[in-house]
Amino acid sequence: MDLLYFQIGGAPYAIPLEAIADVSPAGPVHPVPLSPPAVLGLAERRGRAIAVIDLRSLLDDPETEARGAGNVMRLAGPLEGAALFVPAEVFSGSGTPATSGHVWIDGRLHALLDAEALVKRAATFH
Amino acid sequence: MDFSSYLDLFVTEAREHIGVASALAAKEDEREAGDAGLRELFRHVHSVKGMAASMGFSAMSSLAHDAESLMDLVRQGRIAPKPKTRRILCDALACLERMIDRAEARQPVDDGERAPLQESLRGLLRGTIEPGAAEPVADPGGSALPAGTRAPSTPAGCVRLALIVSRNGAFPSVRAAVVLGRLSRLGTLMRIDPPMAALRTGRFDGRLQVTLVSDLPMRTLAAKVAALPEVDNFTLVPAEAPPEKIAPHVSNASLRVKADRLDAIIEDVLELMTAIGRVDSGLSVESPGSPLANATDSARLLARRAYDGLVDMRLVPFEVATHRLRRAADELSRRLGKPVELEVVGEDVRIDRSLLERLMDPLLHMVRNAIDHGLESPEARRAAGKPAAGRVRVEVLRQASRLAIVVEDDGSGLDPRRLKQVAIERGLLTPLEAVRLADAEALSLITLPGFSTVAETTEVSGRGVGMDVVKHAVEATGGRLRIEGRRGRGARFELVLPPTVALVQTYVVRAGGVSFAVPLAALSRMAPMDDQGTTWRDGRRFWNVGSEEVPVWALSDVLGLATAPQGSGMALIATSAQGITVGIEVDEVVGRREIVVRPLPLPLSTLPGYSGAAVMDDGSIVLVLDPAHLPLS
Repeated sequence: MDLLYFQIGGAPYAIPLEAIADVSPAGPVHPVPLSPPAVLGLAERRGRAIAVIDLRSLLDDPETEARGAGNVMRLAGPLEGAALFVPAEVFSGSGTPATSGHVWIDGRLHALLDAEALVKRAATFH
Repeated sequence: MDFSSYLDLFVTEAREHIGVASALAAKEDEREAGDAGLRELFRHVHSVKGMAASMGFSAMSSLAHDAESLMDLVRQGRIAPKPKTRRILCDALACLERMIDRAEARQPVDDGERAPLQESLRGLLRGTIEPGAAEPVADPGGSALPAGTRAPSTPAGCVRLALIVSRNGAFPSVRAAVVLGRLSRLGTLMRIDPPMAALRTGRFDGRLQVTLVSDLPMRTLAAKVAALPEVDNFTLVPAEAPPEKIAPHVSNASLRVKADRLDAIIEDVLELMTAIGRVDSGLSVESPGSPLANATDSARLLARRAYDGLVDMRLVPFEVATHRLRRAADELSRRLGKPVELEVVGEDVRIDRSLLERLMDPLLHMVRNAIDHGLESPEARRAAGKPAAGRVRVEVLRQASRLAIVVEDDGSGLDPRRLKQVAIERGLLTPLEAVRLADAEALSLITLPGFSTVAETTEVSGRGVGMDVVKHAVEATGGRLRIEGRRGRGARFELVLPPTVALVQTYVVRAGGVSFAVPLAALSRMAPMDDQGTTWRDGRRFWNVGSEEVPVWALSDVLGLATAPQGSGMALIATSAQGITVGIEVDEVVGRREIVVRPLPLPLSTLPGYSGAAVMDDGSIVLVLDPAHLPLS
């Protein structure tokens, strides 16, 4: 399967390519007061506002280093309008399924992310 | 296109025809049958007949045919326009409309009501005409023209094209218009037979003859015509240029476009406007008169004109909804034995079609509510010195950017004390809260979920729509519901609506260093605050406006933003979801802006306090507040 993969807090993660509409460098993010903490805010893409979800806080990454440069990964299909904030380094490649919830990429085990579950979690995560 | 997409088109178009026809029939009730009105009525029923036949709904087309025959005889003076005739006609229209509803629900269109109705209709017809004459006219089978013939390679010049528009599915006249549109790109249309006017009335059997002057070689022309998916068969022969004047341009043809496709184009034009705005803001260093600045100005004007034109296409006169309101009023009036005069004012005001669709059930509910709960019995009315017949008035108002629909009655009105009592009984209010609640605010109690009991809603509305649903439906459109009424003096419900769904008039405000937009329609008023006018009580700030005391929240506190000094900003006065008048203090009001509001995307779509977000000309984002649902505590 075709995947995009990256590291967060030293741990490897992958997401199916078909779940992603596009990836582009993150620009300004407009904070939304009262929004769940995992939502960084709204960003503009092609004249529309998209919601940017901080993947790191959803994955319980304990590191508190400042969020530096990164990419915004816009989700596709029914999740259109939502996007994930991911690190600046994102790679694409193919992987083979491993134990449930994981894939092998270049001989290394990556945790496979489920876009829909992430969005649901972001809405309820406090 | 498959059958179901034709069906949607059929349902929309047929419903529109029946809507106008019913409105006309209702008018015929009031004044004596006018010939022009009757002709118009005939035309709409005739269209429904043709459309139903092409969809294979024979019961519907047969009923429409008999209704049409009846009108024809009335017009010829062979049947008197007696009340009975009118009633049968109105019943036939109602029956046709129910059939359309069933077609939409993918159910068999015919039901038990049609046959007896048609029997009495035919009884009337039999009284005047020969038996058998009222049988539906069979659809004549089109005789095929010879298949596409030789295509000479000489430049075509003036040619005569005979073609058969594909008979696959419904609406041949719509496809004919599409064909003509495509042909007009191949050359100049000189003559069309049947003429456009006949195509528009739907009297079209699929055969079309066109005289066309084209610069293309004959062979190319033939290939292009052959490639048209809407054309089944054609012949193309050279012809002499006709002496008569050029046929009216094809743009006179009306095309039916599905609303969502139109919306997609509107969305694109809105994005175009945003993009132009961004070019414009990047041009600020250019001198105002530079060629680039002028070109950007023209682009902005053209995009705006395109937007206005497209939005205008979405508008329909309120009249299309009137007959349903009248029918609901008539039915309930008969059932309850309460004579009612329903007055509709502003039928010519044009409203966004989808907005009207979303408001139809709430409006029906309010009219039924007014009759059932608002109006007293004829005896009680007489005793109170009122005319026996109750009055319900529906008024549609459009002033500048404001659109409102008012439903009012001259019935018993709303009694704040009684409403409070009911709210206490149903556990929606404590006795202490009831005492504190101002009378004007108590009227909003009827919009609380659970205020109307289930028994009441089903008995009254028949649809289980309570006033809470009405309020929710209105607020979902970006508007709000205002309730006024005094005991014994009738009640007044005003739906204050956004003028269009996408482009919204807002105030841009600032609080805690952040900009927000607030729809004008969501506010009742706005006023500067001062320290002298405010008092603190139980840790809550109140602002005295005239005789009213309004609780005030600072927006920066509500949203957890940096706090600005209180008491020097502007107060936005709105009505909360609980029906309480509240003040929301902001640091400043920057100005008025018309913006494109889109709902918040996932995972923020359920976040209360916002109705959406907008991207501004410079690419920045502004959140649009929903004052009624801000979490005030």
